[in-house]
Amino acid sequence: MSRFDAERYLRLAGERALLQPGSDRGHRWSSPVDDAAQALLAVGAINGANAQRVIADYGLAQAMRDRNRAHGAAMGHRGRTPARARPLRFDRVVPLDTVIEDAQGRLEILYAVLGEPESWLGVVHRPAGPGRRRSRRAAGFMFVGGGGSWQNRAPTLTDDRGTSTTLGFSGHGSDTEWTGRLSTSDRLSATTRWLELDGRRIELDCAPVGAEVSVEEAEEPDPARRYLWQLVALAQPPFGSPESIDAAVEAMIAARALDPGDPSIAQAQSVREHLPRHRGHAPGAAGRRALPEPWRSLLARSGKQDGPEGTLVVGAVTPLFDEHRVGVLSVASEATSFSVEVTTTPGLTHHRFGGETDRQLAWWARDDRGNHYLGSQGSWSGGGDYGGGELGFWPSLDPRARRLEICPTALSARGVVSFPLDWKPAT
Amino acid sequence: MSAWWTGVPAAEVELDCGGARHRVRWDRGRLAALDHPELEGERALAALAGEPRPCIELLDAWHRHADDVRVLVLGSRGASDRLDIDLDALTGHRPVRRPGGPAVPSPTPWRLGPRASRRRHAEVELSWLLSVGGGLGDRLAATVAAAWARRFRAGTAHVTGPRAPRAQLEAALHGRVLAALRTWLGEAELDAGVTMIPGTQPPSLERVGGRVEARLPFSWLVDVWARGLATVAGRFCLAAETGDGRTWRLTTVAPDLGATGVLMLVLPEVL
Repeated sequence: MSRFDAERYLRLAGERALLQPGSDRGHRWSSPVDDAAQALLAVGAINGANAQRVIADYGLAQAMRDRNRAHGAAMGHRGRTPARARPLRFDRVVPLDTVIEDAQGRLEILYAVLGEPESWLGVVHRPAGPGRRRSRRAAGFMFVGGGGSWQNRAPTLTDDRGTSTTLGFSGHGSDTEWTGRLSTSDRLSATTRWLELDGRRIELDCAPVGAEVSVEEAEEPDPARRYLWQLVALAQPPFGSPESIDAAVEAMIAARALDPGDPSIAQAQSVREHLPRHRGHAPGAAGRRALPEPWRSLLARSGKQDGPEGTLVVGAVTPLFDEHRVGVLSVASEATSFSVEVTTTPGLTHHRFGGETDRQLAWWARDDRGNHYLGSQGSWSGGGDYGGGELGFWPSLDPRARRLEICPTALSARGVVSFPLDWKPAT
Repeated sequence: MSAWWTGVPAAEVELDCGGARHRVRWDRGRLAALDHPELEGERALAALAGEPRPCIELLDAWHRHADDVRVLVLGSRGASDRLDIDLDALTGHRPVRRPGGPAVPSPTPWRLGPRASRRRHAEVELSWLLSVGGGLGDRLAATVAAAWARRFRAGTAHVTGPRAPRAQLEAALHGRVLAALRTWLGEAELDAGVTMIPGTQPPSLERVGGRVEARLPFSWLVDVWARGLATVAGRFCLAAETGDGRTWRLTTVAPDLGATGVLMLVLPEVL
């Protein structure tokens, strides 16, 4: 039997992709070369440098045939320094229930984080009504549409040692609401009893829910199956495509890392057929019982709209797992879904833009009722050593659940942040 | 045996160079800047003045990439694989032009910033070479293929050693054979396996199930593909030989992929 040549395999995949009829080019978030390369990398059939070289070659070749991809090829040359896990520490996370209302609108401060590499306030800002838009530009806290930045001056945050630092806003939103962070430019005391935001004192006298953190090694010993299931979890509609999974499976079979008759291939296919095509879609129950866990319990609550409404502050960081650390900041639940704000190191790209062989995290969660949940990155920033943003989870939380575990899952291990669901009612 | 470039038509491009339109011509395996008769002297003067001459830059870049296998990775696979290179976008260049102001020059390798890596520089240079037009990109691909075909014939370490770019060379052959087969058979989704065989073995083409299996030497790229002989008279060409550059003996196969047949092709004059 001839030895499998992974580079040859990838380059031939690249040739076929280049010669695809024009209408089929560019309708996937990742290229067939990228999909196959990541799979071969995961099963140890090729090293990262060789995989990256082939991906870069065919990425540029595609860009020389499709002007829409040319800019991406240029961007791919910037910031290629491999990101790695850095220190990530929340020295202190304090839930807050502070609302500042003035002529500019309503600023709700959800929590304060004092830690490394920075400190910040988690905020929601609701500008005053459209009729008062002009006055919002006059002074005070300015969330400017499109950038969410402070316009006239940077606000200051002061601790009880007298240290003052300016704040910058990052986040997302619309004309009616901005959600994000007011981050410090200097380090503040982690033991401060209060903070002052532009002279308005905020007492820090609450504690977050008591969270436990741990690391679990992957249960599945086979790297090809592990990768396949990871891919199914990552390739949620609309960003995943069946072709991506097919390309990965074909590559792993060619590399003899996966048997063509392996039952996981058919199971993964079945799971994909059962995945909801969009939020709120409740796929049929037929055949669902035959699916493996955690997929069976994930799909069992699909389409339910009975989630509890409320928020809670967690403030816990996982130990290092598979070269990742994840900090879980807060959880907000509503009837149809729930969201979790996280910080990661290294940062994660939002989607798999062609050419990158980033290691991704599948965002699983589970409760004390045996339900599973799956998250995907929503509003997101940072792709270097640090990143973070909001994860949207589905289905809605089981209203009977009393404890939740957020489980960022890499290929060989997962971090676990476990905490009680002590909700603060939604405001 | 004829020279590799026998039967490959000449190609020419015009460039803006030093405020004038200059011609660069490829003919019989050589690239020449026709409007720079004193090449070495002009190169030195251009370097001293810090004003690169595109004609000279093109010649130098050509020679740097004359055996660069990435030319085969990036270049066209044939008539059905058209390049559409946007150098501005590829280099991240934003040509901001004020109304009435001078045209902003397109990015060229020598205009890349000093922070560009060697790999980046090489990529932009390759993109530029393949985008200058006039058929020069295809002649460069033929030149590179000829360099590697020569190494295969000689059995040098370039193709037998552990660092040989064998996967790239196989892919270069695979893509061009596949493109030619799809066009020839009119099957846009045709799947084909291409086995790269030594030049001493007989080439073949057969259908196995729904797939076409081709067994061709790397030199097919030079002997057949580069000369535009992949399909002739509705037949696929497996090998092309000439003694005088005018009379060609083509080993071909019909679309039923049956037995091979020989076509004799006599050109009206030596190209």
